[in-house]
Amino acid sequence: MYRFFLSTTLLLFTLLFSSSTLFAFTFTLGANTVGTPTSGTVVIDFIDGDGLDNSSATINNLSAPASFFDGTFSEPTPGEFTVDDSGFFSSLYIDLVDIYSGFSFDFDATFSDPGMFGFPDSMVVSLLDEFYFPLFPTSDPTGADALAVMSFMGTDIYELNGFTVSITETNNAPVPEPSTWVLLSIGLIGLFYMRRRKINPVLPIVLLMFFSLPAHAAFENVTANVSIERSPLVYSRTSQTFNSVVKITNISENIINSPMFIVVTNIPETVSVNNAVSLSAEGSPIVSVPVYSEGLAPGQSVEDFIVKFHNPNRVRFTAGFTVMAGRGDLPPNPGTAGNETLQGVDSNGNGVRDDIEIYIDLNYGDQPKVKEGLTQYAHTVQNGIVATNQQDSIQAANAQTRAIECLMYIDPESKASEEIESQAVNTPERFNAWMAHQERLSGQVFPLRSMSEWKASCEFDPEN
Amino acid sequence: MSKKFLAICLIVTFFTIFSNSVFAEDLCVPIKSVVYYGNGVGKGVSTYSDAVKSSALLELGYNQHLGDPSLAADYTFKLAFNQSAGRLGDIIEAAKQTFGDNWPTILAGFLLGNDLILRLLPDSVVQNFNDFLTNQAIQELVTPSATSEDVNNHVSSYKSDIGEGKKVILVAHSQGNIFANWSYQRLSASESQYFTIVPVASPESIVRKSLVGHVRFSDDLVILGVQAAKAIAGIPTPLPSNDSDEVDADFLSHGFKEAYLKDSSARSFILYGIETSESLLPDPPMSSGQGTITVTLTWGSNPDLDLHTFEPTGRHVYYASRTGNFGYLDVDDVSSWGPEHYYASCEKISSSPLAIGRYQFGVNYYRGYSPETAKVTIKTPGAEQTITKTLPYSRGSGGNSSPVMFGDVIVSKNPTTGRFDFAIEAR
Repeated sequence: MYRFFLSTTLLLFTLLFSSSTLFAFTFTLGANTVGTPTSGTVVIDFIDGDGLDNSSATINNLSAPASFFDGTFSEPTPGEFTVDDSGFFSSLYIDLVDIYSGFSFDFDATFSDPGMFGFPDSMVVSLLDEFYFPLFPTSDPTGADALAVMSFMGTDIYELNGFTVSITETNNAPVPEPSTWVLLSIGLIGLFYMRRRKINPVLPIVLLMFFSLPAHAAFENVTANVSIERSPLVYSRTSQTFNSVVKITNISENIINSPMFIVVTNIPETVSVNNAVSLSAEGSPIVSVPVYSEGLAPGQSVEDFIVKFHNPNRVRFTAGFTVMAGRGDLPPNPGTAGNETLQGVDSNGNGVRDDIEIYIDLNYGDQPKVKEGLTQYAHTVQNGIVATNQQDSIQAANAQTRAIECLMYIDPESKASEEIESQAVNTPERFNAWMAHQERLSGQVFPLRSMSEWKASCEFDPEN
Repeated sequence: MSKKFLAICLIVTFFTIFSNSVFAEDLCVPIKSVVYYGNGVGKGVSTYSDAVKSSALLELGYNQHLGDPSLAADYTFKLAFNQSAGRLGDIIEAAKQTFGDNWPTILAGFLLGNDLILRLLPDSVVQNFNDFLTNQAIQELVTPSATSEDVNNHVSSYKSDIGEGKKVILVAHSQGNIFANWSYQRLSASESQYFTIVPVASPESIVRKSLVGHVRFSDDLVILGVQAAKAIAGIPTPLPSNDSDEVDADFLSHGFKEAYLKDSSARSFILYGIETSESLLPDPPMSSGQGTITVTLTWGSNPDLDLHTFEPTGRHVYYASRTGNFGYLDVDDVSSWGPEHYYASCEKISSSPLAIGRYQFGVNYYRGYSPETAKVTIKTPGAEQTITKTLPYSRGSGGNSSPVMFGDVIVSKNPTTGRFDFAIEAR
């Protein structure tokens, strides 16, 4: 109770005192060269990252007329637009006849610190083509090819070849922010590392109280041992996802084991995580954190991995992050090294690739019989992938039929084997080998056992 | 660690043998009918696991339909697999463009029906790619990349089963109907009496033989597409629709296990269709024996090829010595096409420890005038394989002692569990 009170106080403190206001700034896009006249569209996205009403902006003095706006954008006086975060996603579109003629606008904005909940609210400027896809790639680490992102943490500008993007103060009005922000805000040109919302190490304790966690014997909750920093969400029109770059630092005194995962909690049903590797028992998306064999040492960080939200209904949400890590019973995540060969990495030599073993445990670790059946199944799929002749393929196929009979004995409705098989063919080489294997089976006949024998098709006792 | 490791090894070994084996009493149950599942083109490219799962769900459904396990013991279920990957190249290209680096897992997810992966993608992307795959499937059904040669081995299995006195009922889904019609035409007039098709979602305008009609949903989008394409091309359109998908778990209303086995009326048609077909088909004369191991040799128009078997004892079983220690050459043919047939009975295999070991099967090209293609179909509980080789010239009786070897069956018995294990090795 005391802890809850403390945390709530901290939360209120954070909400009340961590907003920042940017008065009188100018955004400028200027071409360094004269190119072939090219039309394009500047879009200004205003994204609610935390589900709370606490950020807003006013935009005026557009150097080209706005053509369209949606969401919470409005135009109270001609040429002046206001927007706030009472909606999840709002956009203002400005069509440019020639992008090499440059573009600018002025803005005032107030952004709030989301505290421990959610992502920072953001205003994002992008340059799009006629289909509203990015006109050029930029150095945007979220992969959305944005030009600039503004949030309570300040401003980030991304490199775009042939152009200069800048955000400058239009007058000398004082800015109520630390000196770093003042430095950054004056004549910002070029590439800045995206800075992230850093969660106070004390705060994750609260998460333990608010969210139920997936129960996997092979994993433990290490949220209290790490700090998590999240960048504001940026919308990628290519992947139709809202992307955040995440950094996790080990603030404990012990190594945290690989494999490591983030469980994204508290999101509405219609919001999904595009790059999740699975869903928890409660339906929370689970994202793999790129921490490999050696684990995460004290003080060490893993950065620049992206969490991508799909939010077709544009609902507001406040996502929580829970970090899970292996207790040491599972092999470590082999990462890209696990994808270099057809065979992959099987560090414990049990015939199942480490990445697949982790996948099975993560998703079915709490169902021992299914887990054993899927392990048997994964073995046969892998034998098919590495088969090079018809004999080996037919043997792998017969073994796969036995594994399917076994899994159907355990649960005829289960679709888990389809998941394992798609995960197993995760590289072009494996996919092609998998198809070639099946081509060697084409035209052959495969007997099934009578149902009274399906139990015996398990390489383990499915009853105990 | 070593003790624990050893224990795990023992357990693994124990269960591995356990899993590939059957009890002696199960070897000796005579089978009256074989139900084959002929898979369709799936979502543009068929996958083995989807086809096996469909076969297993058909078996499960039919067992539930019969209710009495003693009735189910009369049947065995098999998958006649066809990959039909004619459009794979186009499909992979489209997947690369749509999904980027992660295309292999996502494409496999589409082909296998992995809902979890598809839920991670925007609905519009899933919808568009499904539409693309549906179009590929329709094209494959209108102009198949497969040829009738692709069903040769299936036909060998049908012939072998019929020869052993079993009725053959082929439940064909989608493209499987094209293969089913081809197969029917390759059976002899007498064999075709004991063979029938249960057509499901057929793209064909006719069915060569069905005793129960067919089933097609009016809202089966794939067959509707085939119908439109064939109508435009001026070729006969598919068998008419006669049912509707009340479940709608599959938005295409086309999948075998996703749509036709789920909807209650279509499911009834399929399950009663098997039962009715079985009762209407006459009992085939048992021209060759049923056994735990059976081997059937067929060939072309040249007069005489001979099947040679070497039993684990070294006993050579062939036309001049037709009774072995454990099996018999019960059919010998000297007038083209075959078949020749060897079977090892379950009583002999389960009663003699000497019957455990390697059975080797070969062919001698005895008399003929041109290179001849021989097909040897080896069947055991849980594994079956057709091996094809071309023999360049006839060797007369001089080849009897050194036939061309086609494949082996290795029989083993677990002393603890008493279960038998069968493995086929092609040569």
